[in-house]
Amino acid sequence: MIDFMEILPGRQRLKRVYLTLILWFFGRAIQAAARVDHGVKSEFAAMPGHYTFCLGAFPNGPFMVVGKDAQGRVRYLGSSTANRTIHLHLMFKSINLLFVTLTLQESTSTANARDRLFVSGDVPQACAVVRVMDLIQVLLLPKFLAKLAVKRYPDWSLKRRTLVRAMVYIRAVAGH
Amino acid sequence: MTDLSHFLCRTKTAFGAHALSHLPFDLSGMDACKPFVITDQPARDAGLHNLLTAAFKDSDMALGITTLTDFDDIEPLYHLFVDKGYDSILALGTGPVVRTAKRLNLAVCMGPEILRSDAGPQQINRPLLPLAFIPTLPSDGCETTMTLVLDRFFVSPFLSADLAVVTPEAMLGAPDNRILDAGLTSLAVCCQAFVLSGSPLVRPHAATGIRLVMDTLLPLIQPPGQDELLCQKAKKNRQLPLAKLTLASVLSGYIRSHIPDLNTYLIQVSGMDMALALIPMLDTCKGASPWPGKLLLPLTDPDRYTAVPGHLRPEAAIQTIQQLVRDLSWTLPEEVSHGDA
Repeated sequence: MIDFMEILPGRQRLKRVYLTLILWFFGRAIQAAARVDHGVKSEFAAMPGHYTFCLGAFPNGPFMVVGKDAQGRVRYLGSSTANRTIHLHLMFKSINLLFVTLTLQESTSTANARDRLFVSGDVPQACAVVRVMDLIQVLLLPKFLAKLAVKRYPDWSLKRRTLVRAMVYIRAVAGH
Repeated sequence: MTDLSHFLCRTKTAFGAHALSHLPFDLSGMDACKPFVITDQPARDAGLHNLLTAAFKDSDMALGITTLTDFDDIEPLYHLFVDKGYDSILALGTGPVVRTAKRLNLAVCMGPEILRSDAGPQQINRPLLPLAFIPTLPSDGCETTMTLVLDRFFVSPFLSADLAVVTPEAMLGAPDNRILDAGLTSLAVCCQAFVLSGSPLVRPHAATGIRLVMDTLLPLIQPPGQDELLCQKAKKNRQLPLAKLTLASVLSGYIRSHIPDLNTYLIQVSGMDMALALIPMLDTCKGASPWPGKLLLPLTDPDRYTAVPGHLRPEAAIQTIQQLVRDLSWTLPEEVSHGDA
């Protein structure tokens, strides 16, 4: 006797909307921080020209694509990976796992230790991108939340904690 | 001369929270995109198929979910699997579910005639379809061995599951005798492997299995009558220790694959009998090798281990197991300690 049913599991629309919004703001914040924060600036300076990386969830996203243009400026290139040469993929193994990380239930380093994401590309650049992500989280989030997201909360100067952070917020909202 | 040791474990084991969310990715890594789920009525009644469906959302994979009531006849399953073009098998359940999944895998890959009792001896010499095992209860560990016992034995590394996903969310409530049997079976297998196997590759798995059983078994066995009083929250609190005990079962299965003589013997013996048989075995070995003494470390903790002088450690290990068996006998309802066990 067999009881059989075929299910197409479908999509998690609310999670997708949340993650798309977060990645959109995160991408713009990276673009902003690369201009005003020396830590993020130096990480990108070490990357080769025209370097593009993507952070997202396997297999259907959402994605965040960030790259350096011809002038060496860091740009948020949107959420589509189509028709782009992407040098580094940082992919969470499922949308659920990306959600766990971006709702601060797990820090990036813990997610990495628990094998939640895989990297396709150069390891040194991947490490640089993870460091950039940590810096952005510290810049965007209040201390009590950022402590959940990063392994060690950095001891920054007052200027970096206030002025630079405000600049990143303003530029991220304005898209500059 | 150095002794020769082998250890082969084809199964990737995932344990803990969100372990199921890794499953679609792991399956796609094995070129599988249409999994066929085999489950049983208790798992279906508990809605565990919904848990699986949630884990596969956004994965673009369609799931065929079959709930079995008759585990003997796999012909309808075979036709369903082949006609609808499935390419991998997920076994959501314990013993009979996994056995059915392995039989189906054999039938699909090697032809259904391989399962006929009059078929001659055949070697399983090529990989079968991807098979993932999601246990819902602790068991005797047969699910993760390389064997399939029908009216004859099939033994091949390809019969092992490719993935074993042990997650607290997938744990069903289990009766005490089932937990006791599974826990003591795992303990006995792991202790015997730790002391007797002579393999440095088996011992870490055995030590982990022993530690998991010692941490979880006694708290899981409730005093008589308390089961009825358990509220929903208390049942949820039992899921993590149950999952740890299930992980110990999974590990004992890997170990049993490397002790074939023990494997045939263990099938007929209950966990309590095995734990009792373990004590004279350790007693016999304690003068001949250092391992009965070292067994004290996974059985207790580093503090206790270092506090006991070296020559007294084998006796202390035996006493620890005796104490566990005594505590379990006290805790269990009478019909379980004297009847089922």
